[in-house]
Amino acid sequence: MSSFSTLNTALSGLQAHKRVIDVIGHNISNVNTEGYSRRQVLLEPATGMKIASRFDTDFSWNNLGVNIAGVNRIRDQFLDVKARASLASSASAARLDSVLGGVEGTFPEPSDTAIAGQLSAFWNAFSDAANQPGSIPQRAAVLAQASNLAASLNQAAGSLQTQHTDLSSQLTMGVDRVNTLAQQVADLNVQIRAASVAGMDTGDLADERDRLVDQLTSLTGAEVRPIEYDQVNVMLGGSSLVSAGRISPLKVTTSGAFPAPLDQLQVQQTQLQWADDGYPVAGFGGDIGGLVQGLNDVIPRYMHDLDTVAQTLVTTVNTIHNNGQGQDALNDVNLDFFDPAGVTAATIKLSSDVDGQPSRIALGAVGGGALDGSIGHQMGAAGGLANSPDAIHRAMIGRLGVEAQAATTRASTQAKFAVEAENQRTSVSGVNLDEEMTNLVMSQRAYESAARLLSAVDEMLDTLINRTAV
Amino acid sequence: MITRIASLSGARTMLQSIQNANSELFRAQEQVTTGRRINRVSDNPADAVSSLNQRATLRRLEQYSRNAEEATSWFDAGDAALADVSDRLAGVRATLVQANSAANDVTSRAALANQIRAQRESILLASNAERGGRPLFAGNAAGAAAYDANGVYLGDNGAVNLPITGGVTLQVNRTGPEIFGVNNPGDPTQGDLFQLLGALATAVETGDTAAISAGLGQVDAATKRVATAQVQLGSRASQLEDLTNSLEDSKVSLKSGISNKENIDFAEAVINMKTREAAYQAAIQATAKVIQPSLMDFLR
Repeated sequence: MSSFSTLNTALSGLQAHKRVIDVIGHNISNVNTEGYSRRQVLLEPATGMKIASRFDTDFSWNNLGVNIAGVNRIRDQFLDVKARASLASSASAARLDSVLGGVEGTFPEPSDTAIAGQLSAFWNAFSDAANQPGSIPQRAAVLAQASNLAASLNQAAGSLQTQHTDLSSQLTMGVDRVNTLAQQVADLNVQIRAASVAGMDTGDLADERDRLVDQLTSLTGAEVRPIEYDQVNVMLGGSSLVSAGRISPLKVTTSGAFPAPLDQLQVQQTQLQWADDGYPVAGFGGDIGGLVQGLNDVIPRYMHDLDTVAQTLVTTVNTIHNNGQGQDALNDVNLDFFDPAGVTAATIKLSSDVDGQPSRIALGAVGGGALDGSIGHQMGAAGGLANSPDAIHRAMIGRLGVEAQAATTRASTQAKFAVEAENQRTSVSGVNLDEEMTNLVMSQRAYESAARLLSAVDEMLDTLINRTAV
Repeated sequence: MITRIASLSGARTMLQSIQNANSELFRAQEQVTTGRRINRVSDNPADAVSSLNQRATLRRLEQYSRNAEEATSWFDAGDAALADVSDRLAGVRATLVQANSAANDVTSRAALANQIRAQRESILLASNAERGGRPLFAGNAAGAAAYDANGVYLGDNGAVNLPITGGVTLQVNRTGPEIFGVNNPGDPTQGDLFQLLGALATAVETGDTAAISAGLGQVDAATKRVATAQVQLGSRASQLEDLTNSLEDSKVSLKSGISNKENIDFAEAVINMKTREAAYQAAIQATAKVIQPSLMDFLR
């Protein structure tokens, strides 16, 4: 065995542990980088010709030092799938919770000033006017209270409409983001493939790609399938959103009116489609799924409920009002109180028959005396009936409360699951500083020892060359 | 079971615990500062809906209270007017007794007749008693008076019914003919009180003793009718009082029901807040302690 071959053995140790320390440095630098997977240098005993010295005369296959087998990116595919599914569920639940929170904010019950209170005040105004049917100020108070009530309903309907519009533009932005992310993932796939083929380290590219895929799955609930050369496909409902280097972009369209009983709403159904062929996208979830559910289910449902409250109010009031007469027994009969044409919560208003004309409000029965208040008192009691707008409104608030509470609970549970799944994933792929420090100490010692070996061999050679020649 | 803790996930878990503790503290503070257990329906949907129900009922009951005040004022005004009429009728009867004697000469008969006419005027005035610009005894008719200067009834037979509680309405008025009798143009002595008093004044003037003696009985009958109306109003007023009392009881129990559902028990809420505060402080202190040590501290 050559005296010089041990020098190469020492060199291989120096080089290998220098590389390990480099990688430890990379890990430590990225300790706080979201989505970074820790790297591990795989060392193996060196074999083969490549580090055999040309000074080596009696080459041996043994004792050749250490070889770097590769740098591993530590990541668990199974935990990736689990974490991404949890992230998507959590994003969807959080979005629904925020949608319902918005709807709930539109109805600040229980209070004396919101719609329930306004309804009571409206009925009571009729009772007060019926106590003094001859008093124009009391009649004017009925009109004022009715206008307040109509304005509250208009405002609530307007707020729901605004929320729908906001969600709609958020969905458009979200889908734009999905398309951009998909394109970035596809681009990275191409780069990773090129680097893999060239035998280069693809770790950083793959980390970046996986980070983008995390965002993409949290937005859409898409599934990820690894393919050759460390690339991935991203699938939505069985179709590819990203297929290696190609993407199929998504688009948002409105697809006509809702089915009955929501068909009278101003808003239309929203559909997520493949931009290329216009087929509807199936099996999506995540943030986009929550947005679409808000747009197609939650908000239209409460819009419809609010419209039902307004319609019941108009029907109840007009039915009673038609039976009464105002102060002019000849002309003030068979009048509508609210405008009955095409009533929704957004359009409810006083009829032109009574608007601004308090004397025409029907407080007395037809044929009764001018100061009869029986119709007014009947109206005053209408809010307590079984199918009154008040009862329908309360039922709606009850449903909203239960749904919002369930959504909040679900969102917080899903968030916990997501953090747990993320922690499990990070527990495999994340950097632990103590571990890196330990490895650093080990590598440092190994490096020192290799250097010591070098100087020992050097001294041996010094002894051999300088002390024996003379 | 996680055995390997990445520095990042450790930090994430600690951050989440702090945020949880903080948001629970915030909710507890919200309850203490607003004094309300239910700040939005989803805080407790069942209680919120039942409190919505009770609020609506309470607002309805408050309207019934206002109706009851209105009814009370009707009854008070009606009772005062009818008491006035009773007094006057007693005066008429005394005058008639005085007139029912052969000793009266023409002058004194004329004076007595004028007394009856003056008492008729006073009763007419009482019959037109009003409250809030509305004559009490004119039914539902509009107009400033129930009877004109000639004693002709201007009102109608309308009843003024005020709802006092769910399902209970009280008629708060009596119409003129119910109190003062029905107009009878054929025989004024059998007609309403004003016609009767006019006829009696004439009888006193002419010394028609037969008519005067008959008139005594007729005035007694009229007095009885007025007294009956007064008793009817009085019994309804006492019914109203009972209803008002139970109305007030219901309002009190509704208010306490609403308060029980919506408002916090202050002591409990404060203790709750203090507990959350302690949990929050524990979370940040633990974080501060856990973050510090690292192998770096122990390596040269």
